[in-house]
Amino acid sequence: MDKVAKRNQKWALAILAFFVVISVSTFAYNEYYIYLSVYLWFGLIYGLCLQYGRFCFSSAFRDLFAVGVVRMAVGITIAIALFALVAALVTASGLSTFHPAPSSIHAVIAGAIFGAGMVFAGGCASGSLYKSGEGNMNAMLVVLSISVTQALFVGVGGWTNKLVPESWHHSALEKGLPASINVTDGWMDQYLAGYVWDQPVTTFAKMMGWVNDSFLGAFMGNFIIGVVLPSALLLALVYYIWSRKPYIRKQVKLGKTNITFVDHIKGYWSMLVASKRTAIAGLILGVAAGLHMLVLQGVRVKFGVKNAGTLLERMGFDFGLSVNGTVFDPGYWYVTTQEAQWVGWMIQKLGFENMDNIFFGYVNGIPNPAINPADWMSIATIGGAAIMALLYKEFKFKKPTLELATWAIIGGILMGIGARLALGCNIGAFFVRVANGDPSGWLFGIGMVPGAYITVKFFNWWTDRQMKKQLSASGL
Amino acid sequence: MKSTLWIVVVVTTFFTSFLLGYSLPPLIESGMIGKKTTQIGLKPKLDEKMKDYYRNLQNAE
Repeated sequence: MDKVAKRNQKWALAILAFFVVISVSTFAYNEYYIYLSVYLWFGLIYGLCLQYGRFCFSSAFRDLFAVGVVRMAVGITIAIALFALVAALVTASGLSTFHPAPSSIHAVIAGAIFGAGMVFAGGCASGSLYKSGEGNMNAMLVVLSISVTQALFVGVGGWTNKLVPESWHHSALEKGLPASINVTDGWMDQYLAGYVWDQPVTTFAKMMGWVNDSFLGAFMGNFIIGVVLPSALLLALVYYIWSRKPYIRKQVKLGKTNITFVDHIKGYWSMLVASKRTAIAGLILGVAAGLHMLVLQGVRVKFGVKNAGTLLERMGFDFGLSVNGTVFDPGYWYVTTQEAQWVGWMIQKLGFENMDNIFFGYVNGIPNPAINPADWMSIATIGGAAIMALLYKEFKFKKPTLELATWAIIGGILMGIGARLALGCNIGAFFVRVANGDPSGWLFGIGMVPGAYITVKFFNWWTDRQMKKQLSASGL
Repeated sequence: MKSTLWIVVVVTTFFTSFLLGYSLPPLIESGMIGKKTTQIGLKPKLDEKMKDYYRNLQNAE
């Protein structure tokens, strides 16, 4: 074994040991910390799987639109279907922690902005997190850009108030929010309370007239109608546009002259199983994401709480709780909100008041990142990705060029805005929602397609232009 | 590399299994999982007040 491999293994085990020590020592200090450890260990699994399968929504769209490679898009769809199966089981048992989001055109618009941003940045929200674990400094810049943008965007006021429609303003006032929340000052606050909260919240089960947490609702409504059928159709479309012709060419080369419907079914199947690594990662991700909801619900019942804010208060941490006594505690996989929180916490520590908006002050709070449950998940995701990257010799500190850094910052800004408008990113607003039968997840996904497509085309044009410039400069 | 990967897998599985084991009994005791098992002899060691408390936790949302 070479020296690099040995050193990598030592680092991988050191990272793992760090998480073990954190979990065990905090549990020994106070049993309530196990709540945070749930996020930690599932976050670690997400990180391991994301890096192993190289799961990135940005890559999925870029590979598909730019070079016609379907591997990642197929892998993500498989992961959604598997997560949906486990989620349906958890939902049917009445143990789901999932809450559907409001569904309307805002999810499509937000998806388009987010989709454009992730192609600019070269990585989605979860992709940038795992790439940070690989030592990719460009991805770290993306994470920083998303975090800062969100933290600033949720509190933006001043001239942006003039952009708020009168109906939003009145509707926001009617919500009767606590006096500490200055709902009439801030575009985001009036957008949330005056528009988003008025939109319908539903699931495919409810749309079919079934009870969401019944067997029929969870499996037939949310899983089959909400996930399996649209996913199968989507994959059929992907096969028809990108995989069909290469498959026919391959069959002709093998001597087949007449390609039948059965052959196309075989081609469709071979597309699904083309990448073992992505499929395995998708399988584990799906199961882990479902179990995460189950375990967290159990711990909530054990401690008699509905939100981690109550536990933090019991442990003596009352700084940064929202006016409702809550902190961000989704109960499942999420990426971007906790990124906004740690910047929000820093801004507050620097002396700027930011608890008068809905995002921080009314819903999510800004707890110290060291005791923020969702932050434990993100840190562990980065750690898990680092472990896997070290073991596969894919860990390397990579400095970005000025051009890449610029794209990273622009992409991060767009993703930050898109994530806040949709109340989540490619994981929280798409992956988790779609898998749990929430139509707003599909709306976000529909928005991501044109956003990513236009940006991929822009990059093609940009690269051509740069190459022509370089060629003319070298006199060729 | 393989043995280190196995260590990672085993440790991660151990901790998540522990968490799963830790979280299931409250769900069973509160009747959120396996309601039928309590009817064939297994009785949760909870008084009515505590059971009501857990049931309300499930219902209140």
